[in-house]
Amino acid sequence: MSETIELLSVQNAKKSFRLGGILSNKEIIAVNEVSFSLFADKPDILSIIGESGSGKSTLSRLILRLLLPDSGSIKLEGTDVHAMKGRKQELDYMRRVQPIFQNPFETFNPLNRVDEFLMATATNYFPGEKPAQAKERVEKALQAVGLSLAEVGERYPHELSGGQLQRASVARAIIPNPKILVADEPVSMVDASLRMSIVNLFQELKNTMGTSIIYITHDLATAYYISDRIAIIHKGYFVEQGDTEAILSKPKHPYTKLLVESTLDPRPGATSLADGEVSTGDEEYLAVGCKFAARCPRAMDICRKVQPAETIVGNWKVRCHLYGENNAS
Amino acid sequence: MSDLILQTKGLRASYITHLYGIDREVKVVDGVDLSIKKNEFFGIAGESGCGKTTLLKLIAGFCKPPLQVQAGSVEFLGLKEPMSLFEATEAELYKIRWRNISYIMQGSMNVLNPVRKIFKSFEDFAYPHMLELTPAGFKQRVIEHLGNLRLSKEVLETYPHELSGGMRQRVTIGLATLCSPEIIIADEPTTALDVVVQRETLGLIKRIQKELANTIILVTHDLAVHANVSDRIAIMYAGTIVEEGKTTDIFDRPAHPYTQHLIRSLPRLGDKEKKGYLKGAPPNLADPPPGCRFHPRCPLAVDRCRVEVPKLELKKSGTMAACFLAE
Repeated sequence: MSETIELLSVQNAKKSFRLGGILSNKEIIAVNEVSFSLFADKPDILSIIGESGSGKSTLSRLILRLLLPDSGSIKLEGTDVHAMKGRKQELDYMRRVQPIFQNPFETFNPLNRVDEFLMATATNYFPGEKPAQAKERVEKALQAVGLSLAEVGERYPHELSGGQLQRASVARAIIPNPKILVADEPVSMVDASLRMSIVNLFQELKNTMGTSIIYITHDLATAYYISDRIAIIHKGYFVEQGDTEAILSKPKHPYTKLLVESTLDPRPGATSLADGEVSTGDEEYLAVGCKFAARCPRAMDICRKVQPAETIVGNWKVRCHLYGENNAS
Repeated sequence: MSDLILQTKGLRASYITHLYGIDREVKVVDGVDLSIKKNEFFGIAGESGCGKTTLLKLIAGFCKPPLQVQAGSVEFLGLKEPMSLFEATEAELYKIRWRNISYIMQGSMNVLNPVRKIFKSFEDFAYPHMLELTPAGFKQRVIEHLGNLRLSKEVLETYPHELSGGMRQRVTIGLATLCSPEIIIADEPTTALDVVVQRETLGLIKRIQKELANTIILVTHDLAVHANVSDRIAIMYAGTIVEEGKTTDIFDRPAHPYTQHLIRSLPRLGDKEKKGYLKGAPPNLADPPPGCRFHPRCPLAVDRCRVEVPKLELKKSGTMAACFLAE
């Protein structure tokens, strides 16, 4: 292992929710044995790819410290999230890890002006500063996303376009100069002609401000376009993680293969459309062994009994019995 | 007899409201001419708010205030006599709905009644249009039809929330195709689905279209979907059609600057090239810009674009485009 400073370190994080009423003892483990790190000296765009119900939003909440893990550890610059107590430390965490939400129209209070909202954010994170200083911070953040206070002006959220508003919500997130941005499906509500502007913006923020970005999405194509590293999450487990280019050109895990095959190529007739059995992932969370085994074309007996461990195959980590025979215990 | 199934001519429609003495007119569909052929997979693409869902409503003959048709017609040519949907009586429309023109809707969760079992939904939607069948015969027909969609008959006895998103969408496809209609209108049928299920669902819709040899009008903002299923596409921008043509022509040689931009900015696996984007935002349809509606965002706009409205014309590329600059 190289000697680099860990900015964020997630080790074996686990979060479960109880299913059904208070008397039910069925449990869904939404995030299970997830481990990854971000490094301070090497800003990264890490894409976390998963389908609906894969646990990707739970994971983003864990990273944002909106939820605390049941077991395992999440450390930000060496301090465990459980150890942070009190308003001051909470604010300190929030200053360093900021969210960008999916729907910009819901990020802003429709009854408040956008610039007031941004000013309030600045004064909340830097209490005791003069209004002029707060204004400077807001202006700087807006400039970084290609807007300006003059442009946003004294307008309400509905008076800005979706693309502008999503930029403003990115500006809000970078006001406290965070080290990590967590963007949960940030472009799915943005128009096609403006989508790439937001995606390109992440790249710029990484390059100019050195911010690490955790980009959570279901869309492999944009993830391929911007991210350096990628992690595929399936029913709470990271099934494959490593370098984006390497994984998406030669996926190892059968689930990643399925995702890559299913991603529509925007060239006429380039994707073969299968019309097979309807696949459902409903019962997969409760499955014993590998959660993907029921749908996996290469499932073996062991897959239905034992959850595979994360093993390093080639240059990246895979969680599959096909590659980890020696490690399966 | 022509090979057309549906034709719109100079269609112009607005949402008109009078609220607290303020009149507001939002021109959502402005001069749309479409000729849709039999046995064709026709795609309509555009951003949110460009009027594509309103256009679909008009094609299906749904026109209720505040939506008002100001000019133009929609002709359905699937019957012995051409039928003008805006002149037809409610009773005549009722006859062709579901039998001849049906609809696959966007959010499958909201289409199916959550307190009725799936079979009851079939009875509610489709049975009134198939009264020549006995109740038992109808049920038999539904079971066979669902079998063709790879759904077991147990599905009929479940409630919508018990099914996965992909299965629910299959049920709504089943509902829309049960009467083998000549035209099926699909509004963003796969937008809410996961990639794996999306591909399966598109495969299913494509297969059904081949089997029934009918026309599907598919509306989605996702050009990658159009690339893989549509035979022809129309690109909409701010209530007008800016380009129309064969899918392969549109993707290979887009003539309109807006289409060119859209296609160039599509992300693709295995392609790391930097993608550009358009400045600005789609116009407010309550007060659209004069001339070409795209000119405020168009990198190539000249003076003529700011005053004159371009017509949809055949260009060298083989597509029809509404642009003065395209040859």
